[in-house]
Amino acid sequence: MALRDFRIPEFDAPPVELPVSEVDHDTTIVSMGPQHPSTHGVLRLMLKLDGETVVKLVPVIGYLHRGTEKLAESRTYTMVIPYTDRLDYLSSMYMNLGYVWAVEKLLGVEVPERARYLRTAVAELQRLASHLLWLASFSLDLGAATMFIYPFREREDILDLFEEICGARLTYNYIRFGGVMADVPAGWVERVEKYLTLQEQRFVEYENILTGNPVFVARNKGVGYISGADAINHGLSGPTLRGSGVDFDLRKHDPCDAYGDVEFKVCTAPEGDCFARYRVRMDEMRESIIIIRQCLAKMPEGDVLAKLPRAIKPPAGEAYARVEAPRGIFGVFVASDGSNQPLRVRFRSPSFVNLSALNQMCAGGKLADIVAVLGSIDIILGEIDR
Amino acid sequence: MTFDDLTTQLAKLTTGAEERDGVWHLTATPAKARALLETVRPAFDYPEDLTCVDDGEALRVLYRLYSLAERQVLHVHVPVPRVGGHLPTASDLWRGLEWHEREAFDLFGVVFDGHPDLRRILTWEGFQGHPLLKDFKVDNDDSSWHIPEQCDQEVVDLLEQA
Repeated sequence: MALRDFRIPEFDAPPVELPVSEVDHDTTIVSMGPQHPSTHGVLRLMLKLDGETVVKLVPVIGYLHRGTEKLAESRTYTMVIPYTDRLDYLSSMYMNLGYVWAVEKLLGVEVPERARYLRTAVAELQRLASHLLWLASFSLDLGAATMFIYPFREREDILDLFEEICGARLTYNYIRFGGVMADVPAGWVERVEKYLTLQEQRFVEYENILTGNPVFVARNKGVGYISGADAINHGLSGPTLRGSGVDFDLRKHDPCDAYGDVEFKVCTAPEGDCFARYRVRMDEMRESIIIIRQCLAKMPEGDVLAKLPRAIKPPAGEAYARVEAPRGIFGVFVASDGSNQPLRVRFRSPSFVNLSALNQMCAGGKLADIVAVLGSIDIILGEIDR
Repeated sequence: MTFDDLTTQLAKLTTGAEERDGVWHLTATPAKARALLETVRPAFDYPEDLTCVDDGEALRVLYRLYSLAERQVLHVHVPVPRVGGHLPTASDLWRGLEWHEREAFDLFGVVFDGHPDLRRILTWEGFQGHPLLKDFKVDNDDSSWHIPEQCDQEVVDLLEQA
C-alpha cells in the first residue's frame, strides 16, 4: 500500500485528480440523521453515495413540526408572541420582532422613540449571540474543540444581559405590540458597553485560532460553492446569500425600527464557498457592535410601550413584515378578519429556504464536506419545521 | 418601471391590480397565473415567499416576489378551489419556490402540476388531510396521527432513480 501524503496542499492549488476505481462502482443509500450530532437538531439527510462522493442528497424535515401556524389561528394576537420565540430559538428577538411588526402594521401603531432604539440594540445583541453560537458549533463540526468553548463563554454574557431585561435567557417574549415589555434596569447600558469592549478583544483570539489555520481553511475553501445567480434563484438569504457576493440586506432594503437611523456597512464576500460565509459572519459581528453602540448612544429617555387596548383587535386586512434575522429573511404574513384571533399567520423561515439548496451545494462533493456545508449555512430546525 | 407600466403590460392577464403601502398587488385566475408569472419573471428575480390563505370559504395562493434592482415587492394572488385546486408550477421559473409549493400542497392540498418532486414536506408520508384548511379536524385521539414505522419509501425510491 502506498503511503498517503499528509502534507496540506497550497490553498488555491487545483484539487488532485484521483483515478476512479473501475472495479467497484456501486452506489449506496445512506441515512444521515435524524439523530446525527452534526445535523443540528432533528434533520435527516438521505444520501446517495458513490464511494465517498455524494451523488444526490435529499433533506427530510418535519421531525420538529409543532403546527405553530395552525395553533396561532386559535390564540389571541398577544398569545402568539411566545410561540414565535420557539421558532428560531437562537434568535428569538428577531422572531418576536417580525411577528410584532406585522401586527403593528395592521394596527397602525406608532412605536415610541426609545423603544425603537432599544429594539434595534437587543436585536443586534441577539445577532451577536446567534453568530457566536454558530461559530462554536461550526468549529466543533470541523473538529476545532477549543473554538467550541470560547464563543460560548462570550455568549453567556449576552444571555446574562437579556436575563436582566426580561428574565429569560432564550425565549424572551420581550418585544410587544407598540414597544418592549419593560425598560432596561439601571446600569444596563454600561454593562453592555463593558461586554462590547471585551468582545472586540476576543474577535482577535477567534481569528488567530481559525482564520489562518491550515486545516480549517482546507476544509472550507472551495467547498459548498453556489454562485450569486443561483443563490438569488433559490431565494437564499442572510450570510448564505451575501457569501455569494450578493449585496442584499433587509436592514438596508426594508429597515425596521432604528436601522434606518444608524450607520453600518453590509458585509459580503464574493467566493460563494463555506469560507466566504464564515468571513461574512465574522465581519457582521463587528458591524453589530458598531450598531449597538450607536443605538445606545442615540437612545432618548421616554416611554418604551405605546398605549394600546388590552384586547388587540386589528381591523380586517393583511400585512407582511420581514426582518433580517441572523440566518436571513424572516417574513411574517398576518391576515386579520377583525376578530381577536388571527385568520392566518405565516412564517417564512430563512433556514427552510437555505436548506433547500443544500443538494446543489453538496452534490459532487465528498461525504465529509456535507458537515462543513451544513454548518456554514447555519440551520435551525425549530424554524424550518415550525 | 412603474406600477402603471406593469398593469398596462399585463392588462389581459390580470383580473385586479392595486398598489397598497408600497406593495404591488395583482390578481389572476389559475388559467392565466403561469403566463403572468412568466411575464414578471425577468423584473422580479427574487422569490421571497409562497403561501396560501384560507378563510373557510375561499382559498387563494399568494406569491411574494421581489425585485433586487428596483427594491419593489409584488404580490400575486391566485384564487383556487378549496378542494382539488390545481395550478401550474412556478418552481422552474424560480427554484426557490420548489419547497414552498411542496408546503402549500402538504398543508393546503393545492396541486402544482409539473412540479419535479411534489411530496409532503412537514407532515409524513401517508398523512391524511391538509392541516391548515379551516375545516381540518384537530383530534389528538385520532390513531391515523401516529407516525408509521416505515414512512421513507418515497425518498428511497427517489434516490434509487437518481
